[in-house]
Amino acid sequence: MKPFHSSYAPVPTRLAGGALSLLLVLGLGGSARAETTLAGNTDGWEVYATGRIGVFAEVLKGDGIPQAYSQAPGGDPSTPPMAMPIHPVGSGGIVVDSDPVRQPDGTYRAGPILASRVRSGFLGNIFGFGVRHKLTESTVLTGHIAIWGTVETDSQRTFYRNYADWREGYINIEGPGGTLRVGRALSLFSRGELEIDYLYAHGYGVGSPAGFAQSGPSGGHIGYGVVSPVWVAGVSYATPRFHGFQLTAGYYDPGALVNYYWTRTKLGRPEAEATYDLSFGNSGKLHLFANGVFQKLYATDTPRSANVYGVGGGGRIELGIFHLGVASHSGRGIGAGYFLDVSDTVVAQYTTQALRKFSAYYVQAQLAFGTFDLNAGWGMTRVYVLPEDIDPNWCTSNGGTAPCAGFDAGTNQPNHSFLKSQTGYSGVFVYHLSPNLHFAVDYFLSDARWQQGEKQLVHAINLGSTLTW
Amino acid sequence: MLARLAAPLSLLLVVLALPVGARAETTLVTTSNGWEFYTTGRIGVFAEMLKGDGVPQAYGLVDTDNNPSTPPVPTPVHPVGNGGVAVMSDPVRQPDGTYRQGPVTAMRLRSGFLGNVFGFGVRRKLTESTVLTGHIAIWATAETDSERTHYPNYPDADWREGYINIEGPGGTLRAGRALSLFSRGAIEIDYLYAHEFGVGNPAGFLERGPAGGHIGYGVVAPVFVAGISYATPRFHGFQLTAGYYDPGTLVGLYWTRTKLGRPEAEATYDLSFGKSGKLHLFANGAFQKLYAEDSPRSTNVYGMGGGGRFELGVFHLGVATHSGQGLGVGYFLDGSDAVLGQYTTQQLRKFSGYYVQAQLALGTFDINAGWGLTRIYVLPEDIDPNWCIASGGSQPCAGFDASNQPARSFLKSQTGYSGVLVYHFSPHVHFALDYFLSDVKWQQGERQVVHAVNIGSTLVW
Repeated sequence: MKPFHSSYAPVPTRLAGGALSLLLVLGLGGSARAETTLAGNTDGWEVYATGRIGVFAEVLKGDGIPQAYSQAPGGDPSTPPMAMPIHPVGSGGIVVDSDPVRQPDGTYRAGPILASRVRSGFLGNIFGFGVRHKLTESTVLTGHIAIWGTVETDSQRTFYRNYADWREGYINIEGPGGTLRVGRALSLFSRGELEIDYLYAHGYGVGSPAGFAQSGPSGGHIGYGVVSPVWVAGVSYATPRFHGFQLTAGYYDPGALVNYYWTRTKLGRPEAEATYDLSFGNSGKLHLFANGVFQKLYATDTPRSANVYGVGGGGRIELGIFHLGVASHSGRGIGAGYFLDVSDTVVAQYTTQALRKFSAYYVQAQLAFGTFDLNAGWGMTRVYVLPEDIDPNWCTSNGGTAPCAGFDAGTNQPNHSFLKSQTGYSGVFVYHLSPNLHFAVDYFLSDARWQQGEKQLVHAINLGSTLTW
Repeated sequence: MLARLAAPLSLLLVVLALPVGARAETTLVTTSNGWEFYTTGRIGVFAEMLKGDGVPQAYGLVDTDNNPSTPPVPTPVHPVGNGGVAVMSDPVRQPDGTYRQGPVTAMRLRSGFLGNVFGFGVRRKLTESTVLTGHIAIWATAETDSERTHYPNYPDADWREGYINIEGPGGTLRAGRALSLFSRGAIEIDYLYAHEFGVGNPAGFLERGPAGGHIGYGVVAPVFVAGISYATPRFHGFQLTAGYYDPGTLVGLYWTRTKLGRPEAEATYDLSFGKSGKLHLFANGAFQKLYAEDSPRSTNVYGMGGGGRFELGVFHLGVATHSGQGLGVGYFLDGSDAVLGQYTTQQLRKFSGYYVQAQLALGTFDINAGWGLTRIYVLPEDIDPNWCIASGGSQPCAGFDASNQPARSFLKSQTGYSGVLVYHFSPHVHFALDYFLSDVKWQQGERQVVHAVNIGSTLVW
């Protein structure tokens, strides 16, 4: 716990503070936490606590989930055709109840959104607790747990259990030979992207209104240029740093697409990240990263298999008050929001069950003035169309005996319009009242598009505060 | 005696998330730069025995074979709506061969009015007179959900509080998940003068608790919810607290959409007199606008409450009342078919509640006795099939059978009588013998009476 200052700490201290917070929250190096020692005993065991509490008032304004209409002729040629709903959109966009708008056929479609909540930001409330002991002069054993929760109740119920999420629980041994970690911790694929989002944008903010209709935490740029790593059981090893280079490799509990055909696994999931760090000048810093993941999936009831894989890379550069992060990732079946984020965006659920390809691009800038941060970002996640999404005859031309399912028999139009892209524009202003108390004004524009031309624009404005310890 | 009075009050401040300056808590560490880490909490378990009636089922004499020469047979009519004590009972065979719920004998080992609570916080002085606090509290129950013997315990952990509090000469600002304001005064009475170390009504008996105290029986509970509130400094005993909270809906019950959040407020007046005299008066209110999901309809949920607590030596008395529309029986926006005309017009019903609670705080022992009544007012469309036509509709009201009898009998009232004997073995260990009588009535005359007897203990720190 850092002391208060009458004026805020200089920039290098702010950078270190942010990095320490990241280490805490993203579950990185166990020996460099932002934490407070609660007790130590004569055997050399130390007990510590970390955590945060945050709350934001959020207002959304924009479009509801879109619904395309076409002019369908009635039985009588003398009467004009009526507007009828066609191909509902698949998953994606901002799911919020909107004002119903009456259609010519008497049904209602989702109209404009005006909605508000009081909710958690990019990170929920966190209670972190750990024990630490020196095994040798240079080797430290740490056990760490972290329980997350949100301030908002699920689905706006007024009384409902606010489930606690035991997100971290691992053992860490760090010494001259590297760092070995076993237990539930953050995975490695796309960790570099998320670090950029956390450090240069939403560490004290909100970002995309993920979970608005149910419960958060919110999304930052996740799903909008960033695919998030996940908290998962695994074993990882990080080499010692060698001239700035470090390689971390892990083997994780296998993940499947629950209820989406590819529901079976045999072996776990290898992931790895290579990083290079360089400090230069008084305040210059460079961090480069490249990471990857591979998971083999199997169908439940047939002898089919598919590979989910992803690669990512990018970097962060800090030069005085100016910070810039750039990242990209691509792969197959990886999901829009987080790794193996299951939805009809990932799987051709109504046709061949093939996995779609994804790519994303993310740029984030920050001006860290010390007491204030100004952050602006842009990110885009693309989902690539499969031929069977748009061509009913693709299945027969590929050896099948029937046209692709999922098309309207009369018009050969697809019955669903799947997600094509999500683009996010973000701006965050953070005021650091002290190293422990932070206030933020946060804006996010979500621009989601689907394959058949549907579009949804939603503006999110947030105001809130965060206490860390 | 004064120490005994102070102890429960300071515990209440923790549990009901009131001003944090006077917590019952243990300091874990104070850092060199002034940060203090503390913990609070409790663990409690009770053996509970229920005896009484199952959920009632009315029978009518129906000529089922349409033959006048054979006598009509009893046939079940209009099942009751939500309400009462939901618990499995001995099945009783009816003349038509079906079974109805008969008498109840059931027991559990369970949490009381409050579950197990682990509280943790950090605090620091921002100035000489302004204190910044961060507080979290995770609740759980002693019993497993639905009497399963092995079940993941994640649903039992309830991150009920997590807020930032800044308290100073200019008042108290709170942001985060904490107790809301509407009906806070009534729940304080229930907690302080009755069920702090007890159980009360067997809410959640079939699944899991915590138990209900007088909630649903004269008291509608405030809720733990995300929000921002501000409390003025006290001025000659007066204080006003106002908050803006995350909107709440009736999930799955037609009014499922909101636009803006919910304002709530409570005004209080405190007066101390003599050596041990104390008066606390309160008035509070809440308003939430709800929208239908698939049609352009809206409605208002609102409530008002008021009452007071009076302490004179060992004698403590609390009185509270509330009324409003769409409030819910147990807690604010408690979704059930008692709240709205679910099978007819979706109209919200009106509620009122009355609660009287007395306590003799004898030091080592407390003797507590209470009575409470929650009433739900009948909608015309509950009982008149032609009301919908008379109100401009083109059809009779739905929810009636061919003989124009309502297909369901909705909740009319819940009355509770409580008695609690508490033995304070120490300021931290408490034993209680607790009795609650639940008397529940439905619109068509059905009734359920259930007796609950509890014995248990609570450890607080």
